[in-house]
Amino acid sequence: MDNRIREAAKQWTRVQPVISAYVGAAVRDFAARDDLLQEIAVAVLESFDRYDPAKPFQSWAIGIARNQVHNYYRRVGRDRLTFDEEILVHLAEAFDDAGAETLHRLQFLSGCMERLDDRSRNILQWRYRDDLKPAAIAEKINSSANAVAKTLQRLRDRLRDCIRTRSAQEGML
Amino acid sequence: MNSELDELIQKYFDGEISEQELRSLQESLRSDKASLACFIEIAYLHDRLRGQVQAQAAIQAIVSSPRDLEQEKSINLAPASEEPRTIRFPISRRKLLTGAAIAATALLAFALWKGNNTNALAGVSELQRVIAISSLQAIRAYSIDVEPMSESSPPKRRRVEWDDRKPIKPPLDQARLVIRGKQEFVLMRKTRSGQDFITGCDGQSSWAISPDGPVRVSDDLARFNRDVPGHEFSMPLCNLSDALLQLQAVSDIALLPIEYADEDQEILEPRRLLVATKKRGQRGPRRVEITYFAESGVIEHIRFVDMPYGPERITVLLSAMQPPTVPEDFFHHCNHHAPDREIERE
Repeated sequence: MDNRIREAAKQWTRVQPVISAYVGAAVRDFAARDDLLQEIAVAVLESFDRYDPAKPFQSWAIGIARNQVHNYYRRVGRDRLTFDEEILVHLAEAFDDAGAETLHRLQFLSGCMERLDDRSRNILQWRYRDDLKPAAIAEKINSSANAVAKTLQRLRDRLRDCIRTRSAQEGML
Repeated sequence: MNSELDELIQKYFDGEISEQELRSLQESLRSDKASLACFIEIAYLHDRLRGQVQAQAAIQAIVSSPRDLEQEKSINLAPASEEPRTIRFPISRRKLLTGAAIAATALLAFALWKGNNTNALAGVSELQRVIAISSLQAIRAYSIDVEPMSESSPPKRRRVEWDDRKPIKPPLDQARLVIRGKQEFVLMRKTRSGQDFITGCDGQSSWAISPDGPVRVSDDLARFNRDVPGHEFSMPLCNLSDALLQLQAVSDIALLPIEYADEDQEILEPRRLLVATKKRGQRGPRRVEITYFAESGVIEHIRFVDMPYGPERITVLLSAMQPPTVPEDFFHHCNHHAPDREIERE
């Protein structure tokens, strides 16, 4: 395997969490996000020869991601509940500029999730493993979509608070 | 933090936002840096939760398979001074996958199925992901099975140069390997007469407990990993992460397509196969096959083909087992022999 491929793989592995979060923010559907990430990875690999090593790889890769998101919306059509083009560009810059601290703090997520009760874990599994929206989860537990949406928000807020607390304890804040 | 904004952002990610609310959110993101920072924080969490939950589901699948219950009954991890007891193996959730991004890398690599270079890159990327996930697991346990060498293998390949003055190594077949971190391991084998032969390392010293004679202890941490497969290639399996990393240097990596069913067309959790083939002129096992769960990257099997072990060359299959609950000092030799056993320091 040549060094170019090795270098591309190394760089991609490093920035992939940022790209994944950006694409997930632009394209909320998990399956679509996964497909897009594949296409972005291919595009990054195929154009790696044109990457200028003097410039940040992450910025370059996010630029490719932004273009691929744009192409995606051209293919599927933009519905009225998606961000407009200007915001997507704005978000791409913001993800690129965001410090690494937010990402690094997520190392505490698994520990924070261990403290959740079974019901909370079930709801997270339905949302994130099975990709069910609040309405579908509500049907499962005989509740309302609004109540489930509120529960998901509270769960995420608890996890965020826990992550911040643990980060502070570790001196990361 | 603005709770109204927070709620809008979360509704966006759950697909519950209205048009008017979306316009309001866009306006906030356009004009306010703090709103943008909040959005990014939630975006990262949302993305990471997906990978985390999927990884937990994959590990749960390993834990709850019928094979794991059989393995549980056959392992005796109790100290020698007590009656053998069955150890409960609750899932260790301490060090699971910590990034949805890692999980997503597998899907990205899957897409890179375009020609040799693309596949090689995908293979390397996947191997790195598998290594990363493996290293996140606090305790890993494997059953070891030795496969008979094919009759078609040339006889000279089945044996290597061996000094007959060296003791014969106990068989690896049906052995158990428990690993923690990069240095701690316990390898449990049976001699040909069915007696226990245990070697290990606790990060401070390595040790060997044979059926007879004193317990041998050494400050050389590598002293007793010479029985662990892969040692001859400087990639002992007790340090699986480093062994797999070394594979990248000496092997060509190929990534095979995801499999959704077995030979009988029974639907399985999707699995994938990484194959590392030794490059000409390099030292290492001729071929390594890593079967792992496609979404989570958790290893199910590793097969090392044509590894030297004593005078033989063997094919070794490591199968992931449910991570055991072990006492903190499990990797110390005292946990594995009677307290009055003689200790000999080398």
